[in-house]
Amino acid sequence: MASTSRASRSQNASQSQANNTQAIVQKDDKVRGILNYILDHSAEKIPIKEKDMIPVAGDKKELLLRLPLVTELLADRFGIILKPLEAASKSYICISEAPMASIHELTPSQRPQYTLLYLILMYIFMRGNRTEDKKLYGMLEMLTIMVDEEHGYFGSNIRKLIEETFVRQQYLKRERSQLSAYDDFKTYFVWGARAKAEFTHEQIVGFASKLLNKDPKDFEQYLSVAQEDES
Amino acid sequence: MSGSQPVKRAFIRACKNRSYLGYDLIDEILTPLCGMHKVTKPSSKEAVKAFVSEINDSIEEFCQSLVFIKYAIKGEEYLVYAKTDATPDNIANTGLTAEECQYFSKLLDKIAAEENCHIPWNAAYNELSVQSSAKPVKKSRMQHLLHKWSEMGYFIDLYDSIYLGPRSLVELSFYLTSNHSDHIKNCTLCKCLVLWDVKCASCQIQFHRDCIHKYLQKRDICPSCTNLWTTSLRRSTSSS
Repeated sequence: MASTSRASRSQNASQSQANNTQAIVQKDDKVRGILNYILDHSAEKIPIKEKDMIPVAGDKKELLLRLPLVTELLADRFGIILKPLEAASKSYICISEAPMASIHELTPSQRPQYTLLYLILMYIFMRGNRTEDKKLYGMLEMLTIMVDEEHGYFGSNIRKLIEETFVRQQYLKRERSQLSAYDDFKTYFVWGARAKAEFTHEQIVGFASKLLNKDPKDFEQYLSVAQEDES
Repeated sequence: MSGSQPVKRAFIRACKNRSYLGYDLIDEILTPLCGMHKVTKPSSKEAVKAFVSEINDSIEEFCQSLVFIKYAIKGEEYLVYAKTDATPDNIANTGLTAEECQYFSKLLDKIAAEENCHIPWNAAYNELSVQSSAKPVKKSRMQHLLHKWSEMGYFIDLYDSIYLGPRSLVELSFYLTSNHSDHIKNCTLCKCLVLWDVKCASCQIQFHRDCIHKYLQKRDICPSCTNLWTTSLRRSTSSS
């Protein structure tokens, strides 16, 4: 006896056609595989490329059908927000739904890195959200942090940490521009997409005021300028 | 505490980042976290264990798990963030070259082959370079990786030696007890891996201190060889 009559076969065909255009809502092995791939790669903080996830799902269509569910599960179970790097981007980054409650959540190696990052983000913010790399390194030198020398607390390879690691992790962005056609190109640092998602200007002001022993109110002017820029 | 979901999720993320946590660190993390979300902090060990058990219900289907393990060499109990599908080949391998992954496996096997599962610190580098490869791992890179894997709980640097870390004992329990069964066995009382723990004076079989302590409340013989149990269970070092 035929298990599918012509009527039910055509019904199955139109059902599977409907499934092809809708997102997958059941947790199958591919969903788990994609979620695991993302979890494994989230620690490094480097953007996860769509093309690298395709082998886990089989092909691009299978991946895209499942990403909404994976995104929902990551948020619901782990508080990890998966978002595209930019509007039409084929790369994704993982952001925590909330900032850390204390430095105890960081490993001993990560603490100096975060401190350095906060210093840099603070300086960029106070320079109007953009600073030339030479000026940044000059500021660090005043704090006896030489980017090309080993530092007792911040370690060695500080330049590499700033120019490569923080940039790859999307904490910082490097831009080149020239004032006019006759000028040399200069390199600037701005906050990267991850810094904008993970930190607020208020947090950085809080850090700066503690570091510089000032009242957070002293930074109100900077905050209002930043808010104007954003709107 | 059937608590706040954001607190549980934040705790999972913190455990994933720290890899292994003693009770002191758990408390240091939970105090500001629970304060921030205005929920009651699980303060006793039992409350923490119940809290962790609730968390596991939500992540276990994704091969992630929070597991408590008694780490006898330090006399401490740790909460380990473990991937339940881990093998020596796929551990911490994002961004690593094939040679670097091999270095992990070789180091693991070298340590596990020793009677007390530890090697002198310099044996982690000199004798383990993959000579025949086109891209051997440089010593400075080996040092960097070993430091990273130690922060991840796979190895521990103690008394100038490298020991198997708590995360290796949780994630690679099956691999270690199957492939290094000379020195690494499961406690016959609880069926979990036992290392650096209490031995029977007659047959030298190891048991977890807590397991044998509970057993000896009813009987006074070794569960394995049935001779009278004579080994003292008093801790030689003070620990919590």
